[in-house]
Amino acid sequence: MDSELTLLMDDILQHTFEELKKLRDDKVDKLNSSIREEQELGKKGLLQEEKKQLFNNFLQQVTDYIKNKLTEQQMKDIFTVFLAWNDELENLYSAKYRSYSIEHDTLYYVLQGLSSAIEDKDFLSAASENYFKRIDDVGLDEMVDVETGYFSSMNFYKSLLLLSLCKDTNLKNDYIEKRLISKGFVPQFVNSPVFNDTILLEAVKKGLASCKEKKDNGNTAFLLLKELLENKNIPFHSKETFMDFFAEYFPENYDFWKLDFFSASINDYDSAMKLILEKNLDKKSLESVLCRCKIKAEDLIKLYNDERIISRLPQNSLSVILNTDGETKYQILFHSLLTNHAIEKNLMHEAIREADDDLIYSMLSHADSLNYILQDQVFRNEFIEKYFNSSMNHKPLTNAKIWELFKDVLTPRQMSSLFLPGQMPYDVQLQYYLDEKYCYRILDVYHPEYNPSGDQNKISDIKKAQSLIYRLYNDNHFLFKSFNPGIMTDELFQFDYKFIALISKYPEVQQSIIEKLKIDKYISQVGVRMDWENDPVEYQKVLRMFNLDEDHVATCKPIDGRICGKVLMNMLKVIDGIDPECVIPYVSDLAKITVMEHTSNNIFNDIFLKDGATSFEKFVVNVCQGLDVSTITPNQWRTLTKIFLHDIPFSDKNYYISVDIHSLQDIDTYDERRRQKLDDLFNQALHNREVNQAINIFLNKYYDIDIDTARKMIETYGMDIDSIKEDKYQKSIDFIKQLKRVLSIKSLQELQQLYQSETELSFEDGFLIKNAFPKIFGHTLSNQLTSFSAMKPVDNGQFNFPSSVKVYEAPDDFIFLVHSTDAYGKLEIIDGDYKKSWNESDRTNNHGICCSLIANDYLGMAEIKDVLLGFNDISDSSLVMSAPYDLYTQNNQINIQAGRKVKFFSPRNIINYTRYAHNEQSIERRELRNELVDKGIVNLQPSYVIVFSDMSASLRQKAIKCAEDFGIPIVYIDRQKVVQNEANRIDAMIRECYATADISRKIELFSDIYLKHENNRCGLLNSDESLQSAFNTSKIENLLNDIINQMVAEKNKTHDYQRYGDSVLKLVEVLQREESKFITSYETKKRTVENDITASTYIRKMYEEIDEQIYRENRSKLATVTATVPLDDSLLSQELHTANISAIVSEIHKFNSQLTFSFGSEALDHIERTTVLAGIIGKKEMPNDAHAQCLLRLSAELRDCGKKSNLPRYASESASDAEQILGDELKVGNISQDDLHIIQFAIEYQDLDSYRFDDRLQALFQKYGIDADHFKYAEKIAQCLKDANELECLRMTQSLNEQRFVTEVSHELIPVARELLERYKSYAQIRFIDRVKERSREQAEHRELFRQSELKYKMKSGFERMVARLKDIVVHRTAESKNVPEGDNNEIRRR
Amino acid sequence: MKFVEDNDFNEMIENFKKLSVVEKKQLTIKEIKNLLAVLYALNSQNDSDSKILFNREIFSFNEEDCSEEDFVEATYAYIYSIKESLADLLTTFVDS
Repeated sequence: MDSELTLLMDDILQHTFEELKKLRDDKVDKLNSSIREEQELGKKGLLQEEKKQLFNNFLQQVTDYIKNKLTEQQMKDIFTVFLAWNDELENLYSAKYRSYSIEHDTLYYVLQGLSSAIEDKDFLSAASENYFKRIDDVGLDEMVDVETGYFSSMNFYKSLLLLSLCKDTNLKNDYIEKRLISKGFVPQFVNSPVFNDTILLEAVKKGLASCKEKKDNGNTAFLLLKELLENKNIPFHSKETFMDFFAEYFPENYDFWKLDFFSASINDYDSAMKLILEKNLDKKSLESVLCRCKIKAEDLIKLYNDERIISRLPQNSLSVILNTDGETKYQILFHSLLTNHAIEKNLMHEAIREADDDLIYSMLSHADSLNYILQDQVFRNEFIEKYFNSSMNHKPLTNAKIWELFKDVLTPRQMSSLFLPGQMPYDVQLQYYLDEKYCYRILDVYHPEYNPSGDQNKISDIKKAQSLIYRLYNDNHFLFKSFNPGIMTDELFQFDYKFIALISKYPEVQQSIIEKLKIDKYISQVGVRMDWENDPVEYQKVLRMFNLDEDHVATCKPIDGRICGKVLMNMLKVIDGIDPECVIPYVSDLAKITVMEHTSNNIFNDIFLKDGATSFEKFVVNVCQGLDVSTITPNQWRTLTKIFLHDIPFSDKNYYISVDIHSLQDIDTYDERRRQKLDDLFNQALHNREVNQAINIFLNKYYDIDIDTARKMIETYGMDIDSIKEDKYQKSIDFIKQLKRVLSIKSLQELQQLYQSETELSFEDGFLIKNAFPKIFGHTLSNQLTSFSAMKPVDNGQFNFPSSVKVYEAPDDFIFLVHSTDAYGKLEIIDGDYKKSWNESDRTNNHGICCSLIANDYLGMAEIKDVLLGFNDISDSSLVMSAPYDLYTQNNQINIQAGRKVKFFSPRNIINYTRYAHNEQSIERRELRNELVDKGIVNLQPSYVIVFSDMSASLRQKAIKCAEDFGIPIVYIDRQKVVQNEANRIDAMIRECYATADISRKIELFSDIYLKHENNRCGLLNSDESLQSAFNTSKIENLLNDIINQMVAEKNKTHDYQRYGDSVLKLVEVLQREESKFITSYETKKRTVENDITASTYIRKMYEEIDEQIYRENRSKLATVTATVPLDDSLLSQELHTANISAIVSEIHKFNSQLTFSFGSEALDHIERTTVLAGIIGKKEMPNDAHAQCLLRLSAELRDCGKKSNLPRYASESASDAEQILGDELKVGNISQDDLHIIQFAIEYQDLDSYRFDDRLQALFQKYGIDADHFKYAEKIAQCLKDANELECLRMTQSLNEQRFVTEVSHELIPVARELLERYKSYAQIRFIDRVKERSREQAEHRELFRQSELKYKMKSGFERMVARLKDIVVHRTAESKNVPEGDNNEIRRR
Repeated sequence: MKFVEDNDFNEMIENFKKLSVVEKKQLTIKEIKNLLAVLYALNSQNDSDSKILFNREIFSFNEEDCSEEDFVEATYAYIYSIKESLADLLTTFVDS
């Protein structure tokens, strides 16, 4: 292609891309969102048309541009190039226009523009030569997807598009006739733009004839007719001509299909009426026609208003309307378009009965329909029932409004849900609490007139309940607001008002108590042990009842009846966020309450006495029955509370170790007996060399915590604890660090030493330390937020702000905690006052304020739709959850739940680790500082309103209004300035890096630059591309390449391989650290601005500089990996250093020689790891059976030997191949036939989906002749292998489904499997380090060799010998000169 | 002209070749300096005023951190220095 043509093509493509992009960015995207909104409201149509029109205009514009730009000949030439468009060209242009992403659509637009300018003759001639010829070469048959029968090749669709451009009908028909119809490829394309109506009819006829000829079974014919009849462009009378085909192909269902197709093809009023009247349809058929016909809403309404139609339909069958599309349904129901009110009423009844959420929303939103509902008692009852069962997220009416409209028909259950904490204005609530008519129903208490179906045992004295409520209201509106009427029961009245007031403050506590009371009743009603595993519905019901979090639902198997502890733990969770000093006595009270309630109700006896009861439960059953609890001393309560706090019944991995209590005296000796038990267990763990068990016992004894809880604590609070320096919480910080240290211990000896020297943490200290964890980070955050003192007040005129607000400009370095008010739901604006809205809207019912941390180098946050509030002063306890990514938190009013793992970091590292569009800091909405609460401040108040320089005028006005309402300043951020400032800083750092000669310093600077670059880039993810382009990754890549080149040059110059190796590892760490942040933040690395740095490419380049074979070696990694595992007491170390690794490696290679060839070294790696993990599991599960362990090892080694393809199941092939592979071993008697069968069984067992003894398992036992006596033996081996394989799934996923584990030890092995995998992943690095050492050694040897050879040669070198002789002479003469007079000396010198 | 080969010499040069460029430069300069020192010592024996021809390239030369250009320039300067010292020695030899 000549250069002129290339330039022209570039120009056309560039123009088309730009225009298309503009069209999409400016208009289509907005239109799309409007279309979505329309669809949500059940309307559609108009905007779709508008979108179509926009594209037509665009097409015309492209065509005009091409016509103006090119001569006719140039058009033909370029057209020919496009026709020859192939993958090569596509790749070329994709690379060239990467930022636009080439789509077939775009090419089509260009083609269309071009084709309009050239003659048809030329067009088809060019197309035949260039394009269709290729299609013919490929062969149409090959393009058909054998499964679906549809064309799969993109080429074919392209050719259809080309055909559609052809203006000469004869030419086009000729092509269609020859290439498509004659070959029977019609049905798939009847709706393509190629066919006009006449061709289509002809094509269908030929297609049907072809079907007949080929004796097609009817599917193709069905498709043809369906497509034809649903084609809107074909007139009704033309379709009628196909009736014969129906009769021919579908004689049995002729009437049904005929009607069905015809209904679907009716698209106007006249056709519909004609069909209905002329065909004399029965009622059922008529219903079907009305349902399926595709006529406009007004035509349908016309039909419904026509007496001739109505008379043919029974009234209740009008519910078919509800099956029509949303727009029609809406118009018919709410615009009173039907003249017959009886029908209308009937319709409404049907609508309510079958209403979905959309319809309920519509009914509530429109006064007409709402009035209609309210007028009719039956409607009201049915509608409100529907309303409460719906799952609408955003309801159009407030709860107060619902109450007002429906209060007389609400059931007690519905009423109580409206009266939950914070659901209604409290003065309204009080009014109805005190109104006898409603009070009984709200509290669901029996009353013969007002609530005859109420609970007769709940409250005996309603007046007492009313007086308590009234007192609460008068004492503190805030308490009253969070008060849950469910706690009004006779049981709780036994406690005094103080207790009611105390728990009123904590919605979760109230909820937990209510649930607990429910379960007490529930269990007493059920009265028998429930079978949770076999009754999942019941199980889910109870879980829901107790508001248990998803973690528990997903992973735990609850033991019946042990709900109480969990519920009370939930209570503590809420309380401990407030004031731990006050909590401890209250915790004791909770234990007391529990004991009292248990002892007054014997329902737990049967349950507790069975297996698995905890110490506390046993105590309740064994000791507390009939006991006067007042005789329990405070010290005893303290011990009981301590036990009670660990009474977590839902975990089947409960590592907390306690001792039983059988009498009150046992409480006094509890600590001592537990200590003794722990010491015994510790010695046992040392003896068995079980390091994790030993750690667990250590943690139990000294920190009163189990290993599982400790790991979770570290995961949540320990990731960044080293960056935190806060004296205030030093004890808690030290404790987390110590936990990290203990959990990382791998040596029993080290642990033993620590066990002997450590001191026990007291219960009170432990409680306070553990409860302060989130506060450490809350305190640090509050301290590090940029305060006003660091900001510069600016003249309001400078940025056009009114004088009513004070304005500050953000400094060069800042960290702000911000909340975008409308990001995830609209802030209801009350009386046009932001302050009032913030403090009084429904939103105040939610605890959490979702905030983001932004900084000068990270501006990412949730979308700003209204005002952006900033906080620079919060209580230490306010930071409830935190993570450097979106936590997907949900406020369910009672508490905040995170959809992802909570991980606390220091503020700076939150920024440095945020690789998503924003991070999330969940802040408690209630003001927690007593001094402010005492002043009547209920909610946390914002400190300032943020205005960005590029905010729209309306957002800016809202921000000003908000600042005025609150009386707080505005903080102005000039985004362009901040970005430019950051870009300048990075540029300066890059310059400094280039100018630095020292490699080590260069890498340090690069680390800072790369971090700052990524921070800025991620922070601008959703920003304008011109801003993003300030941080172009190519700059960083150039710098990285420069550093690597310098390192390589220096290595080549000095042969100092060790220095090179050290620098490489340092740089690798920087690259991998940045890359790993994307994994931590669940985020993809793909960004829009330029390419991203792919760490692996650079790492490989640096490693291969030392040895280019590092990545090409096809050898077992196990031996190398084993050498890197230090000899300690960890399970991995024990396995790798005791197993015969070289034998395992040799066996694996021997058994799987074909596998490596077909699937590469990764397949071998997987088998090696599975074998190692199976080895560990086998030793734990079958400790005294070396033979079984050997069979397990062989099974693991042979598990994949039959793998021939990438199909997921190949176990039976492997089992079969195993027989051949082990044939020799069998012959020489190394293994028996029975052993072989067990190995084969274990391998094939891997493809079973269930662990149950079902038919498949039985068949497998039979297949390998395993008798009942050996079932367990064989199955144990198979299960060990299956768990090893489950653990190996870590290579594909970040987390495992632990429910799939069969063996107990597998849970413990997750970190082991992860470590093993990491060591395999770092194999290249291990090899690199080895090779660096080898090269350094070689170089030292070279030096030594040179030194020796130099010495050797110099011994005989003439020059050296001469120098030596001269030296002797000089020495001799010097000596002589000292013995001669002055005059002689001169003589000697002359000579 | 007669060329002779020496196995020990060849071995030494082969081992020299395996060293890094930096080491080679260091050794080369070291050998030049040794030669210059010998010449100087010989000249000193004959003339208390003996001297070494010096130049900025030699003076500022750092063999541990030098470019190829620095090295060639310094070597060139050293050769002239050697030539001059050798000339002094030969003068004494011819005169005597």
